[in-house]
Amino acid sequence: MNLCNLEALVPQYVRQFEAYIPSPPDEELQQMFGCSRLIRMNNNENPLGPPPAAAAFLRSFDPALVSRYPSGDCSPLRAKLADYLGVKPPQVILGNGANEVIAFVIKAFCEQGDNIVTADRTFAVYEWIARFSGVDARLAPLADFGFDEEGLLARVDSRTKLVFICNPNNPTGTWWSRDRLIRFMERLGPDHIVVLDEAYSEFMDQPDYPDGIALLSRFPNLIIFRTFSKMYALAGLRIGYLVATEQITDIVRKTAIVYSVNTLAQSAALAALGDQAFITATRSLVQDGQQMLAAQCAELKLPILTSDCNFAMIKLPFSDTLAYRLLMQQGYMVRTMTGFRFPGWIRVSIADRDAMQGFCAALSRLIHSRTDQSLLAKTYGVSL
Amino acid sequence: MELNVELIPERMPVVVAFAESAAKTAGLAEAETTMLALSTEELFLALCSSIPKAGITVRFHDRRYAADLLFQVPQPPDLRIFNITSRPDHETEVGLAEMGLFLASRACDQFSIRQMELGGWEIMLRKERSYPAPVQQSQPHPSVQTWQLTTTPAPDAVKQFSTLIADSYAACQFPEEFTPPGRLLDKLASNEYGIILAQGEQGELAGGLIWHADEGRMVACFGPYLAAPAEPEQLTIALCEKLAELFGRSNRLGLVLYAPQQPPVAAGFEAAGSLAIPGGTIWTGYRMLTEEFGADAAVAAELLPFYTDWCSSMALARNTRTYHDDGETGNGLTLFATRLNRSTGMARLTPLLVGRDAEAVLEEHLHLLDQEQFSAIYCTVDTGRPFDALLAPHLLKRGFTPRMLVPWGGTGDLIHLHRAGGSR
Ligand SMILES: Cc1ncc(COP(=O)(O)O)c(C=O)c1O
Repeated sequence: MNLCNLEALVPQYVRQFEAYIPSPPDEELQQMFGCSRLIRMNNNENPLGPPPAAAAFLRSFDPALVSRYPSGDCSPLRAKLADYLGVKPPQVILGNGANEVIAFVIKAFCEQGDNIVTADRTFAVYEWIARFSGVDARLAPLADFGFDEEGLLARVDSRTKLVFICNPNNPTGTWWSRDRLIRFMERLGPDHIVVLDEAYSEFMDQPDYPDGIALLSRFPNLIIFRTFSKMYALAGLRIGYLVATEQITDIVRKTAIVYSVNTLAQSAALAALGDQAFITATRSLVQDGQQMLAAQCAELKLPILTSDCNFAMIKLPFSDTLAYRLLMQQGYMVRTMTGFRFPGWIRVSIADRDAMQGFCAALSRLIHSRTDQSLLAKTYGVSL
Repeated sequence: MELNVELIPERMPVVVAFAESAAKTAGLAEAETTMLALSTEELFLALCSSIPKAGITVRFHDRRYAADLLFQVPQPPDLRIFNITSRPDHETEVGLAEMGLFLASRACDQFSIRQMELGGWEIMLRKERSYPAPVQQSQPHPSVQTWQLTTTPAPDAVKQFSTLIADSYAACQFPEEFTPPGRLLDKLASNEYGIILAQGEQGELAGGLIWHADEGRMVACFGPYLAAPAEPEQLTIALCEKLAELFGRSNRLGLVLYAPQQPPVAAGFEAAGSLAIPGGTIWTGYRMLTEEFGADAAVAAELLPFYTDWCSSMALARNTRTYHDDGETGNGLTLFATRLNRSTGMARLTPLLVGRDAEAVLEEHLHLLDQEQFSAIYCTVDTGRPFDALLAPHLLKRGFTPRMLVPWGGTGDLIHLHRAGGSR
């Protein structure tokens, strides 16, 4: 059948949208780039693998169970999460990764003509889902690498339904303190919903880093996102969640897809949750990795943004996409930041010690082979 | 504006009237309107004979600087009419298709055909407006110490920039549409072009660059053109990074920079080759915007050394297959889209289809272009379209040399070949 009229069937905002192309499997990439092994440092994964209890559960899982549907609303896990977070179970909604939860929220609150407000250089999925849903994404430039209160407020109008704050921000690692968040909430007022994406909150070890959930009673227009993909190392199982007031979750539940979180993910998350020893071990690995990177960048005179998060941003004296290709040839996959509107920067996820050492050596070879550094140093005020 | 009409010659007056009123709406002068109307007449008759009685839609797109007439047809017409070498031949009795669209290809500024993504074909006639000649009003540019970037400058600043380009750079270093100022402003208003200007505290011009995003996956960028900034390298970096930032999260795969100086590596551009053009050399730079996963490439043996050298310096992962002509049946015919710029003597041939008659069709085109005194002829081959490789040996035999590589510029990578005048 010739779908001659397909053009007429597709909304303009979908037609304009470019589908995301995920990377091919490792073997294919290794063959293309001629490297014998590939270390992925592009998705901010936890190199330790899942916490021991989750790993043990996965090893002992009875395959016969997969013929049955999972709990449609993740009730055992919600009960445990609610208890752990100090909220009631109906205040928690789980999804197939925090990404799916973003879609639930945008679908629940936005219609065509509405807008969302966020930063220009942050996690892309808020902007993407808004755009392919026909909702305008208004973007406030970051100020000094962090979310800019004034810029965000200036873009809010009566059609603004959601303001997305990534705290800490992916990719810069910058974050708002508790006071700063409270001031923003007060200035914004109760007429818009603020989504606080805390995908990396478990990495944060700062006394004034706010716990969004603790602010729900004061600001009922808050929604908090968390994920099991980052600290808890369950990215491949796809599970994330939101926490909000019951008034809000009653609405979001209408647009949430039931049964979208699979049995393995629910039980592995249940086993993983709250493993403090694991969290401490991960934080210490991240700290070591950040220090190694910072030392290497100091030696190479490269500007770097480090934080408590499991990633760092490095400014290169040439194209980040070129650097990506050259690092791929050496077996290291990083995230180019042009797609985050930070041309010339790469984001590197913290990996285990061996991989970090290997990466530092690869970075050093790359810089020495490709640069005249004086100009960069001048431009970014790094002394040589 | 839109017109639905059947392809029968009696309907021609309706179509011509539509073209005339479109031209008026777009503000074309009388002479240009006539050209567009005559070309429309010719195209419509050709279509009537090629796909008689088919229902078509004619659309008008006001580009400010030009009027586009888009003829959307359900099936491909006889494609031979699109080769500019098809000429009216009154001596012999040949079909209309053999005659080609003599007027349309010459009287219009652009004449092209494309297959629409979701079915059908679209033929475009574009006629551009004419603008008054620039009034030279060179002003001295004070040295600018600190500047700010803007992507939405006031019209006066754009006019100043246009004058700066015209006064300070050789004609070969910028596309002619950047002057006079009125035309540049209209190009910018069409949203296919954009500008980034750097201005000092009092609005003094420090420099800028212009980009052009047409249908492809690349953005063509021109500049930076600088006035008198205190730190030219830093301004260059700032302008180029702003550009990459603008397109970083877009559907574009890369930036191609045509620069009056060597491409700025510190600003993220890699050297991509240079183009000899009438009057000088243009440096080209390339910047990929996305992370690439490698690709298969089909390349003619003759182009292999050039291609592999560039792939290695640009660190492109390519699974390169040398394309051999083993006599298999390919496309039936060869078709070039041709863009001519008479004022600069430049002609660009883009192969749309490459078939067994490639050598003869190429020869005809070169013959015609030589006759009409085009001194620089460009042609591209696409490593993502194996049959393009058939064309390469013929291009090299006729004096073309590969000059520039644009990764992902077509279906695959685009190799730009160039033949300077008289080098046959
Ligand atoms: C800030 C932020 N939010 C949400 C997500 C999505 O996480 P999930 O894997 O749960 O979909 C990510 C993943 O990279 C992220 O960085």
